[in-house]
Order: sequence, then structure tokens, then C-alpha cells
Amino acid sequence: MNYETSNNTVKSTETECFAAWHASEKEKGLVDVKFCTGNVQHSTVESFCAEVNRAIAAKTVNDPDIL
Amino acid sequence: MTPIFSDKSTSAIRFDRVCATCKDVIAQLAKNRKLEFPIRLDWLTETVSARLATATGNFPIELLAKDWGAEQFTGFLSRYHDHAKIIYSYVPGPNPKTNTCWRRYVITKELAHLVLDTTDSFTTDPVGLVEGLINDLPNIRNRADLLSEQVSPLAAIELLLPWSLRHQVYEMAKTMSHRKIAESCRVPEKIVSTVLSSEYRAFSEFANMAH
Repeated sequence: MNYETSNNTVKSTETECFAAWHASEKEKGLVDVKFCTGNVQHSTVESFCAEVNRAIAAKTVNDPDIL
Repeated sequence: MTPIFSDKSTSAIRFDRVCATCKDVIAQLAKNRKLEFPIRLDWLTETVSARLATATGNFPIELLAKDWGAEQFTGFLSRYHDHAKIIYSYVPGPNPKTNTCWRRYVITKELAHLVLDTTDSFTTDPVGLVEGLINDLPNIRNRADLLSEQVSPLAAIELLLPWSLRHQVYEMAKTMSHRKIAESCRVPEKIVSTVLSSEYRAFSEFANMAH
């Protein structure tokens, strides 16, 4: 996954992409991020950040049964 | 607001403050809505939103269901100055990893951050937070954001099975299985078992009676 930042620097690792997303969102008022972890037994920072990037990019789906 | 996760004098999480905050949220919800099981997430979200609204504006909270093939995490809070987004894993169709009860728990855990966290426990180094979450090591640097992650599951329990309705859970347990109680309260069975354990009962009674 590549993430092009506002100064056109292409980030190539998933960790860099997530950090770049975070920096970009901070400019829009982001103050905090938190996670509800699942199975992280075999996780690396890179694999976790890859999943975060996928979640950010994913489209929303209808969840009719949540409330 | 008194910081919960960064009390430098004790370097300890103040569970009594966590429980007091949760009780306060539930009391606020009960002012406008009927408090009963299952706790409605739209009302809980509305209450948290109202607490964070300022004189100059509302604080909308978006709950965003997404299917990204979740494995390493199931929920993700991004909090902004004037709004918040909670992304949670939802795979349409039957899937035990993300059944309704677990999704409600995941969302509530992230809502808990919105009411518990102060600027001291906001994450300024997200990659460092990820390192802390995936490394099964003690939080020796006493990172407030990581402490918050560690205590937010407790807050989710206290919001979904609130202290003011806890006697109902204890009553149900006399005749119902943990699974039936979980279905009735729409929470994970594991949480019902936790709340009914003698250790949690003692802990929760102590923390909730402190204020």
C-alpha cells in the first residue's frame, strides 16, 4: 500500500502509511486513537498497521442489528 | 476533570474513578431514557455525545461497521476535537468472531475511551501504542494511553451491565445460564461469567461503593 502525503512523499511500508495517515488527520483535528485488539499473538507492528490501513480504506457496510 | 490514568503520585489505575464515571454516564442516560437490559447502544452513544458537547457545538459520534477481514483488532476509535468515529468489524452473515453481542462490547469499549480519557491519555505516538498492544510485556513506561487500553474493557463491562442494574444480573443467575443472561442483556457470555465471578463481584462492589 502506498500513501501519498500532502508534500507528495510516497510512504511504502504499512507502518509509514499509518503514521502518515495519523499525521494528516492531526491536521484535521485528530487528537486520539485507540484499538480493541483481537488475536495479536503473531502480530508485528507492520502487520497490525497493514490491518489498520485496510480498515481505514474499507467501505462501510450496513449493520441492522447493532443497537 | 481528574485524570484517571496518569496519577503520578501512585502510578496506579484508579478503578474507583472508572466505575464512578461509568455510573455517572448511566445515571445521565437514565434521566432521559428507561434504563433496562439490554442497554441500548444508540442511547449510550447519545449520552456520551451529550457529555462531550460544548457550549459551541455538538460532538457527533459515528459508528461505522466495516468488513476488512479483522484479525488483529476489532474496533478502532479516532477522536477529533469536535467529533469521533468508531470503526468496528462486521462481517455480514453468521460469524462468531463478530456476533452482535461482541460488536456491542467493542463499540462500548471505544465509547468508554471517550468518557474516561483526558488529554494525558490521548495517543500521541500511534505506532508506539501498537507496539505496546502487540508486545506481551508489562507497561513499564507507564504509558497513559496503554493503561487506558488496559482498563477500557472494564469500563465496557460497567456500562453494559451497569452497577444500578447489577442486582438483576445476580437475580437472573439464580435460575438462568450465563448464556441465557448474555442473550437477554446482549453482551458476550464471557462478560457475564466475569461479572458473576466472586473476584469481579468483590472488586466491582468495592470500586462502585467507593463513591
